[in-house]
Formats: sequence, C-alpha cells, structure tokens
Amino acid sequence: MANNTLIQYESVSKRFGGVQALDQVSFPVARGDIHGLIGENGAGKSTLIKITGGIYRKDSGQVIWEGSPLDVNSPVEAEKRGISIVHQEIPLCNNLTVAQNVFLGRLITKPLGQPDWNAMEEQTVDLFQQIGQTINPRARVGALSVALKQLTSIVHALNTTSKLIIMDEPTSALTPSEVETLFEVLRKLKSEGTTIMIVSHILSELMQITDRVTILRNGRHVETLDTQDTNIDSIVHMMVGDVPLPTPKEDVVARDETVLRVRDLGNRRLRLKDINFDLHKQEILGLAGIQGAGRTELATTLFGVHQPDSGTIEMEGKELKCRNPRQAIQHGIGYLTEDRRNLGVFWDMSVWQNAGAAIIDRLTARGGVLDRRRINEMANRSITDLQIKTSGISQTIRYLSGGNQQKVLLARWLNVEPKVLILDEPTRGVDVGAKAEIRRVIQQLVTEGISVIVISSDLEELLALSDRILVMANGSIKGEFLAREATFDKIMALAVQK
Amino acid sequence: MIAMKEFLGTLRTRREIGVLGAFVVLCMFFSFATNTFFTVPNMLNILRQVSITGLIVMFMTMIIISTDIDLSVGSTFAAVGMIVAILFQNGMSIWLASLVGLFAGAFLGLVNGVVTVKGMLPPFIVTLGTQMIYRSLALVISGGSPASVRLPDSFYNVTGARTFLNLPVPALWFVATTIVAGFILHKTSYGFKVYATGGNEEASRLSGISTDRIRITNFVLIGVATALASIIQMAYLRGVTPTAGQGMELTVIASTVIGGTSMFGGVGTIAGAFIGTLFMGVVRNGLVLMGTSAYLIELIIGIVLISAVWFSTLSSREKR
Repeated sequence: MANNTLIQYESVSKRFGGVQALDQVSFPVARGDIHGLIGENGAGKSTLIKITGGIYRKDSGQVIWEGSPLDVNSPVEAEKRGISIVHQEIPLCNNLTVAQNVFLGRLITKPLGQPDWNAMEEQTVDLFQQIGQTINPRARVGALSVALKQLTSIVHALNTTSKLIIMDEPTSALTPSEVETLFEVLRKLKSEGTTIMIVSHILSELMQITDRVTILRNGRHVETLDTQDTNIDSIVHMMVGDVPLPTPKEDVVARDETVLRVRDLGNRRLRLKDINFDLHKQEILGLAGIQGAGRTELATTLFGVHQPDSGTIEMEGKELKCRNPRQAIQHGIGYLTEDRRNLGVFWDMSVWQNAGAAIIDRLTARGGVLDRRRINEMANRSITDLQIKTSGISQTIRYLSGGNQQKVLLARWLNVEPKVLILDEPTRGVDVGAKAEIRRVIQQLVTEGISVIVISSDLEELLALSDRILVMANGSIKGEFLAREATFDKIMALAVQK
Repeated sequence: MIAMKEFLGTLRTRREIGVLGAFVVLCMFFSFATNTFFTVPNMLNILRQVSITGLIVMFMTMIIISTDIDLSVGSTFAAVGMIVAILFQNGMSIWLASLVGLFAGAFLGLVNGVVTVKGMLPPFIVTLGTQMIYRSLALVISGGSPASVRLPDSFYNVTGARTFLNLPVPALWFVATTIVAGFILHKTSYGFKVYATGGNEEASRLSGISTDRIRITNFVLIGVATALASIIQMAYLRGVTPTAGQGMELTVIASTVIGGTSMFGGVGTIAGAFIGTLFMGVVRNGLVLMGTSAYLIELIIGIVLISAVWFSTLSSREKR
C-alpha cells in the first residue's frame, strides 16, 4: 500500500472560530487514481483542499506525501512539491494570451533576460497536444469559452510537472459536451500517471469518472471506497447521514389562493429554463438545491434584477413585468440577499438607516424631508419585533454581530410590508440564537398574510420551515414535495442530477 | 432635541473633529505669527475669498460621497460666465440672463451626469473630456476675449457688494448655500440616497433606490451651484474672462477631502466641507500675510493637503 499511496491524510483537524471544519480526517489517495471528494456544503471539502494546497494550515494531524510529512505554507511551496489546484473561479489574467497565462510566474527567458515568447508559445501548443487539444497560443484568454479557460488552467498546472492535480467543481459551468472533453483530458492525464482529486456536487459525473470516492460529513470522514462498489443512493445517504425526521408540519388552512404564478420562465444567460410553480397565500415555499442550481438566479429574476427572456410571472392574477427592484418592491415583492456583506449592508450607516433603506420615501414628511418621528417609530418597532441587540437606532451597523446585522436586513424587508418575501439563505452565518429568532419571525410572517419563499442550503431548516419544497438543479425545477413527505435522501437525489 | 443630536451624531465622523482641531491650531498659529490675521477685516476677506469655490465645494461633497467626481467645474464656471455676460451685453436683462445662466449650468451638469451614468463611463474621464469641451465653449462664444459688464446697482447689491456691517454679499451666498446643502444632504430622503449610493450602490439598487437618478441629479446640482458661483464672481469683478476658473476643480476637490469626505464614497458631511473650505482659505491667506514667497505657497498647500487627509483618516484606518 505504502508505495502505491501518493497522499495519506492522518487525523487532520482544522477549526475556524467556533466551527470544527475538519475533525480527525484520515484517508489515503492512491497514485494514478481519479479520486472524488464528496460532501454537502460545509462538509469540509474546501478546507481539506486548501490545507493540501498550502492555503490553510492544519491545526493537528499529518498529511503524508510520498512517504514523508508534507508541510507547505504557501501555494508556491505546494506547487514545488507537485501539487496544483484548479480552483472553481479560475484565476487567469483575461488580458493576456494563453501562452502568457500558461507561463505566468515562470517565463522562459533568452540570455539577456527578455522573454522568449516563441519558445513559450511552442511549448504551450505541445502541452495542449499532450491532453489531446489544439489551441491558438496567442488567443487572448478573456475571449475563450469557460471550458477552454479551464483547460488553460489545467495546462498551467501541468506545466509545473504536478503529481497531483486537485479540481474544485470543475464541471459546474460546463455544457455536457464540454464535460465530456474535460473527462477525456482527465483520463489522458491519469494514463500518464498523474493523480487527480476532484470535488463535485454532481454525483452522476463522479460515478462516471472516478476510481475511488471519499465522503465527508460535518468535517468528519465517513467512508472511502471504490466507485464501482457503490451507487448514488448509498452515497447520498452517507452524505446526509441518519437524520431524525423533523416533525412534520401540520397542514394549516387550505392555502388555495395563488399569490404568485410562474409559467415557463426562462433566462438563457442565467441558465434558467422552464420554471413553473405557484406560490399560495400564507405559504412558506422552500427552494432546495446545491450551489449553482439557479435558486438565487430565480429569486433575483422574480425581484426584477434580471428580466426573463421567456415565460410569465403573475401576481394576484395580473402579469408582472418588473424592470428593476424598485418596481418589484412597489408591487409588493421583497428580497433578502444571500450576500449580506456585499449586497445587503450599508457598512458606514446606522441601524435605522439600514432598516429603513427600502422605505426611505415613506419616512418623509412634505417635500422629501425626513420625519424623525416616523424614523424613530419604524426603527424602534424593528428593534423590538426582531429583538435586535444594539445600543440604539443610530449605532453603526458595522459594530453589530452577524446575527443582528441579518435581523436588521430582515427588518428592512418587513418594513416594506411585502405580499411576497423571498429570503435567500436567511440564517447563513448567524449564531444559533439569531437563527431560532429568524425562523420564529418567518413563521410569524405567514400568519400575517405574507407568502414566503425560502432558499436554504440547510435542508433541516428547509424541512422544518416549509409547507412545500421545490428542488432545483441545473436551472430548472426537478421536483416538488410536501414538506411532511420529503426526506433528505429524496431531495438530495433530485438535487444532484445534472 | 435629543433625537436631533443623535441624528447629527450618526452623520458626523471622527475625521471631521480632527479637521476642526487642525483648523483651530492653524488659526492660532497665524494669529501669533502675524498681527493682521486675526482682525475682523481679514476674517471677512477670507470669507469672501473662499465663497466662490465654497459654493461649489458643497455639491462636490455630494458628488464624491456618491463615488463620482466632477473635473469640469472650472470650465462650466467660465462658460456660464461668458453666456451671462454676452446675453447681458446684447441687451437682455441681467436677471433674465442670470436665470439663463443657471439653466445653462444645470444643462452642462446634466450632460456630465447622463453621459457618465447612462454611458456607464468613469466620471473622471467624462468630466475630464467635458472640462476641455466646456472650456472651448467659453472660448468660442467669447471669441477669446474677456467681457466687462456694467451691472445695475439693484443686481450688484445682491451679488457682489458689501452690505451691513461691511459683510461681503458673496460670503452670505456661501453661508446660505452651505445651509441649503446641509439640509438637502442631512435632512432629506435625497441626502439619504446619496449616502446609500456611495456606501453600496448594488445594495441601494436592491433596496429600490434609483441610483442612476441620484447620481445624475448630483451632477445637475453642482452645475447650478457652479453657475451661481460664476454669476456672483462676475458681479464682484464686473467682468468675466473665458479662461476663468482654470484649476478651480483642484481647489474644490482639495477643500472637499480636507473636510473629511472619503474618495471611496459614502462618507462626508457638509459641516466638514465648510471647515475644509475655510481651511484652504486660511492657509493661503495666512501664508500671504506672513510674506511667504509666492513660489513656496503652492508647495506648502500641497503638503498641508496631504497631511490633513493623512491625519483625518488615522482614526478610520485603525478600525479596519
């Protein structure tokens, strides 16, 4: 085993603040294998990759590389040892050519130090030929397709004579035929003795390409086994574990009044297609799916950030065409962003300013003059209703905890008094107490006549909150469950389809 | 009253207190270094000197808070002055000509705003371009020569003259504009949206704020303020040259940032802008009174500008 093992993880652990990202993970990766790494969001896949690639340092445990401990403190050191990572977001310089990117950081030079572009371009063509591809080495990378960019990134990795190439979600942005090309390249690399670790959510692809797979769950190693000895169902089960079924929600009043009706909605650029669903009055509709399934894209399309190229959205029987979020808000739609940091919070502004941002025109007296009385009323109500911990309504939001910041943003949308509220990952990155509080508020909302769409990667939360769950994958809705009939396994099985 | 205090508290940044401190120290220094600085006539003189740029600084502050910039103010200043002067020379009432001038300023600002926002171009480049275009406009309509105007007293008295207590009227316009700008920025939903746009444009849009409209309006407002400044200057000097206002944008931007407005947007106040304007005026005035060589004055002002901004950003830098 020893000389056939390229890399052996031994009790590798890593903590981030209060979160145990990796807990005593041990497994081997055999030389010349294509090894799949599987797990839900937050299972620890990325952390493991980043430790291997020298981006993070492990807290304890060992990584044995070709028989001796691997202690790399930077990606450069890792590359020197023969480990390359092809990241999900491909870090290429779009303004440079393919050859310039392939040789970035290690130019071939002529005697006087001037770069030898001819030599580099020739070698680039050779390297692409090794993986069975032809390329124009002078093409600007910015003009290439995603697939070719990815291949450029792989060739960049090859160029460092890597023994191990780690690929993070390589197929998420590829079309089926491009995926096939990528897999041919991977098989070619394997036949030449390169080891490949591949992280992917798309189990059907992993079944097709990998020799062995490792399943992680909540930072722990569950199993490493030969791909041919297993199947998708048992992998899904290992990913989600034996979860106690959440108490099924009782059916509240018959919710037959349709608030939002979506028919044949599509947007090519966002890869949304044939979306059909109804949202009923006072319903909590869950949207399940893996990253990249198109849930946020669907939500932002309903909110007017993007316009659909086909299909219709009807609100209370009338067709809705929102050209921007402002119009969506006017029609009674609210959208809590998943990206609190970049798209939600106004960092230098106060609690009241953040909570009132979407209704600022309603907080004025005559002539657009801000009305302190209305502002105080609005802000104090928000703080009480959501139990926001702040020193006052004028406290700068920057100094609140993540959970309280999220509550302020939720308050922003409650103040709009929407008919339909879309909550995108409402409890991501908040502490347990705030999480419970936010869930309580969501359940409270529907009793007040609001209809809610919840997007969450936390399946347990989705099952506990929703009346009905839609499962999205690859830009369309793959299935629908009543929450009391849904299980983790059923949902995941649909979510990992390509 | 408490609410009012709280309200001001949220808007007032620590930077501003630093600038105010530096300003006081500076004034004390010049008071001891010269015996002419701390006198009523000189104070009034400084106020008059800064009032023309000061009018523009208030709205440059709004522009920079929403992460834009306007480099064309000096040329707008000249173009509007020439338009008003030539209309007046051709027999139009000065009141009407001034109104036309204000609309011309609004229009030039509108062009800046629409090209920048709707064309999705960097405001630095757009207004650098219009700086040249508007300057050319001033030269073309004047034929390159200055115009002198003999204004009726009724107009001169409300623009260029000195009034009771020997107060210069331009300074009154400056103070009044500061109050109006302060009201707009700190007391209205418009002002809120200016901060929101500069603080996080994407989040603003997702909150239903028309950031495009806010940014374009800012450009229109600075156009009007520049036109007003130009008309007042014309009245005071009794004439206008097509090369007026060259380099003015730099003084205006310097005053704005000395006043604590962040070039990264989202941060700044009108009170700060007011102090920043006076600061620039006091440095120049004090140095002249001390008999500093004219060759050295710009050098010292340059150093003061950089140190003031460095000093005023210290507190916010520690936090990150």
